[in-house]
Amino acid sequence: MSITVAAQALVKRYRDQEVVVEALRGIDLEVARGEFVAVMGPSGSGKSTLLHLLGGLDTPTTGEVLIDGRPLAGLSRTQLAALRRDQIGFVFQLYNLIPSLTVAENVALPSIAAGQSPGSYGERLDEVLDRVGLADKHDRFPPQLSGGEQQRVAVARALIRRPAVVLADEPTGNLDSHSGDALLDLFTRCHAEGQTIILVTHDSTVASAAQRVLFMRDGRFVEETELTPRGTDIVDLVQIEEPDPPALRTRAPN
Amino acid sequence: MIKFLLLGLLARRPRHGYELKTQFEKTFGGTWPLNPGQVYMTLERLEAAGLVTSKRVAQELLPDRRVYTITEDGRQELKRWTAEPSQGPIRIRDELYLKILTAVLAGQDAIGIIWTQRSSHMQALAELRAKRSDSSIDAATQLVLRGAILRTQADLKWLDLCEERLKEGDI
Repeated sequence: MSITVAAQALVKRYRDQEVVVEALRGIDLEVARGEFVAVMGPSGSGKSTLLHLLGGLDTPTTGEVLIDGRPLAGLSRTQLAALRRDQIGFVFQLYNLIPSLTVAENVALPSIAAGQSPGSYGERLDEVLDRVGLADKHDRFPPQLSGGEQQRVAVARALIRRPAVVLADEPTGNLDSHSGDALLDLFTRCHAEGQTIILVTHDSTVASAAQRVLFMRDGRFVEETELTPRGTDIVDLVQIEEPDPPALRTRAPN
Repeated sequence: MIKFLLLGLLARRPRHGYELKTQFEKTFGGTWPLNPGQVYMTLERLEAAGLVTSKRVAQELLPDRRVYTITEDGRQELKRWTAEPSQGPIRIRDELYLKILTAVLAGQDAIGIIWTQRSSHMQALAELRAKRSDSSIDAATQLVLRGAILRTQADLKWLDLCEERLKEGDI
């Protein structure tokens, strides 16, 4: 499998007034095409910084990021903007939709930015809206939608240009658990269809949707686990037991 | 407490002991296994208490079997029990809780233990989530499955919380 996203010895230092903060202390990462990886860690562990570097939204102090084999550092500003538009789909915690544009217009933004005409992206637009279950919400405006629906619009926007990789930063962070589960199912489906996904979260129930989970702490990967549903029989997963008789705690009736 | 489960099955129609056991296990996809000895002993007690009656039915080439029927008293008792709110303290019987709390008590590297436990729970959650689309799982078993998913999610959130608190040095 070819590597879609790679990071080599990534270090990121910030200067916060007089103090130097080392957000990333040497990250090596290889994400293969079609892989679904979750990066998990508490707030302040550096996971969002990592995602921003992978997506070219920020530059590392030292080290290198490669998307589809191309080092980001070697790109001009225009090339980087084009790569972000065409190869990377972003999904953020706060959806980042434009409230005055319709659902369809929001989703089509990356295509419009790439200079495509409505005739050339129209079919793909319908396809991604259908895929996220919003085919009937084409002409609505974001404020008319639930949080879960708004996040699905953001996913459709991230997918419209068929990017090499989708980067998601706490995508379920603002959703109730039902909408959050529906969104994870959507990521699972995208993954099954071959999309590469890197998701960052502090929540291990969210990270469980991935194939591989990397645990981050203080700017480093400290642990890694592979999650592979093996089709285990339900009786080996769940067992109901008879509770103790309530007699243990009975009190004398009045 | 399995007496109520057996009354529940008999509320639909009379059945013999082995059928009760197999029907019960089938309903919940095998997630709730019953011990045959326990089934027969419970049926005897139910009969002694007047909640079921039984009669011997002859079978060709096989030993006679006993078919059980719920009585009106049995129906009332079942109704009373299911309507009664389940009460008392929340019972946490999971080994996970014992392990983490013991590691904290013992001054072990609880963070490392949390990671190990979390990986296995994440694996379990991934397996359970994958089962939701398994069409061979019937509706009653799906309810059991959903319950197991929610509980596993709660345990994972608890592990995340334990890690956070341990790192803050609260413990």
